[in-house]
Amino acid sequence: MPRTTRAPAPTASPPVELVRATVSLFGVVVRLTADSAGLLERMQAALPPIWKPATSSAPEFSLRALHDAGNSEQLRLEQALPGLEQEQPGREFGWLPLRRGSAGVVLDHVHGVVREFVAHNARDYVFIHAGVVAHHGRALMLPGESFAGKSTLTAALARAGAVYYSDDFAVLAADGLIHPFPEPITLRLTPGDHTQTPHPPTQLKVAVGSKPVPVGLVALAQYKPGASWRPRRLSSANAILELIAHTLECIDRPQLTVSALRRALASAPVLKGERGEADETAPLLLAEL
Amino acid sequence: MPRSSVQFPKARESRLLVEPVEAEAVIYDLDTNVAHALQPLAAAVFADADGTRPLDTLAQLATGRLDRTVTAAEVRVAVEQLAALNLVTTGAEAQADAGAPGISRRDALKAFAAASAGALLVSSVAAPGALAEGGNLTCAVGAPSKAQASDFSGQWAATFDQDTSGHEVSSFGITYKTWQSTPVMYLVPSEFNGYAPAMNSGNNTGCYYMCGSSYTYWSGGEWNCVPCDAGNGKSCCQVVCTNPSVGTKFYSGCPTGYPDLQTSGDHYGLYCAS
Repeated sequence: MPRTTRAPAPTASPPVELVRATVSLFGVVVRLTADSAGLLERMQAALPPIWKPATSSAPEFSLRALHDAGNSEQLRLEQALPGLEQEQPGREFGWLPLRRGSAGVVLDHVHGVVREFVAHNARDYVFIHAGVVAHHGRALMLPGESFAGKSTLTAALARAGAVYYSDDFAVLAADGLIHPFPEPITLRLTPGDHTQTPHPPTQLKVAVGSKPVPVGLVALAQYKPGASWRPRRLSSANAILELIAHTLECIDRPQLTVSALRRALASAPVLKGERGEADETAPLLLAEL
Repeated sequence: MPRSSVQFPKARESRLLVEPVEAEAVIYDLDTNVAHALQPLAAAVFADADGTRPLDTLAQLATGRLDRTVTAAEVRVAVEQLAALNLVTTGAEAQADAGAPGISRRDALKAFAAASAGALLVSSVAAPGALAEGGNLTCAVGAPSKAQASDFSGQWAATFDQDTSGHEVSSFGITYKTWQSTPVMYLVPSEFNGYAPAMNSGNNTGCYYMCGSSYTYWSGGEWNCVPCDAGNGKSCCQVVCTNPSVGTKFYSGCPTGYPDLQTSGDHYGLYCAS
């Protein structure tokens, strides 16, 4: 369990006991604060599923969820500004209001902001927009932006027997290994629909990876109806460049990004081309691994 | 005749991360945050261009590295492409204008086109980062261009002009507060995207960049106070971020030594006593 502490209420009346949990996600320390233990547990359950209890007490990111006075069904979510998180009776400072609404809305927002903060601030990892599965102990990365069809292809690969690692971010460590980030797979109900529905891996009945794996293949596969998968192989330098373009945050850690990508791609071909339907392409990709 | 850099190109050494990849190279320019992929010929030229070697020597060295015959004309094309990206220094244009001896641009391009079908020897991509767009959000970046003297009552609208990096104009509302006589602030509405003024609380002077609901914080900004353009005897104070990728000034209350804001109650505005 994460470390929890109790702090005095931020307002003078009525006094409310705040409960806290400090967790770590890819080395980023996050503190959660709530005005009830039950709400704190729900905040933790809303986090990306790779959090661990934190060993450090200094959070880099703090969120707190509080019930609205006079409306117990409504929550408000706030984010602490660094160095200003102060909670004293009668005084509150440095909290930025983020969201107000039902528990479902606010907890979804907890997931989103923590995920985004970790992806931007995990100093020892490179986050790449990519779906990831593993096969025979090696990762298949599918870089792509939204609406490139990577979630559909990731799900098809998992259904075809690959182990699911991530739907949206390939998390690359300095040693070139890919770490699991198995969030629910967001699939569109109909082609072209901008509304995505999250599907937990358990619901899709697919295997989920738990250990870092080396990269075996990178496929820059752009969906085009009717296309056949006849990719070209990129040169090593161009492959690194393509993946830099898909990183979430390169400016703050270019050395890590370039060296981690070089290690990751040392023995992994990078293929680029158009593909047809996901279920037709998936076996072709798995055969390459 | 003095040595011309068109014949003696020199690879840039500062503010570059160079990662050899087999016969190629990836170069990350820390000044521009642009990554370049150098194909084998460009990588070979970059590696050997030390400012003392003429083009034909570079061609010989590239021939050895690439295991094929490389001409000086091909090297010249590589140098020109690298120079256009500020990866090598060269005075090719000046020399061509002066009619100096050497390989002509036309000959070089002709030879290179025959050898490589006109392919680029260097590809480039801008690195994504904190100052790029976050998801589908449009993040405003900029600073107020004029002091807003009219409203000290708390919320006020700050008009952002387009900054030098071409981000869009935006405006937002800010609520200022003080805490234990120290100006601190937070922002409304929460959908604000762009630079947030830093607080003035001793060691915490710095800059926020906010996009959507996340932020990046840079500490160590420096204050810069100048007389307000309204000529009202007050100063407008800005923080200049130390992070070179921020580099934008914005208004941020008053630094130590400008007590005016601390006496204006819970809410304060933009100006400091001079």
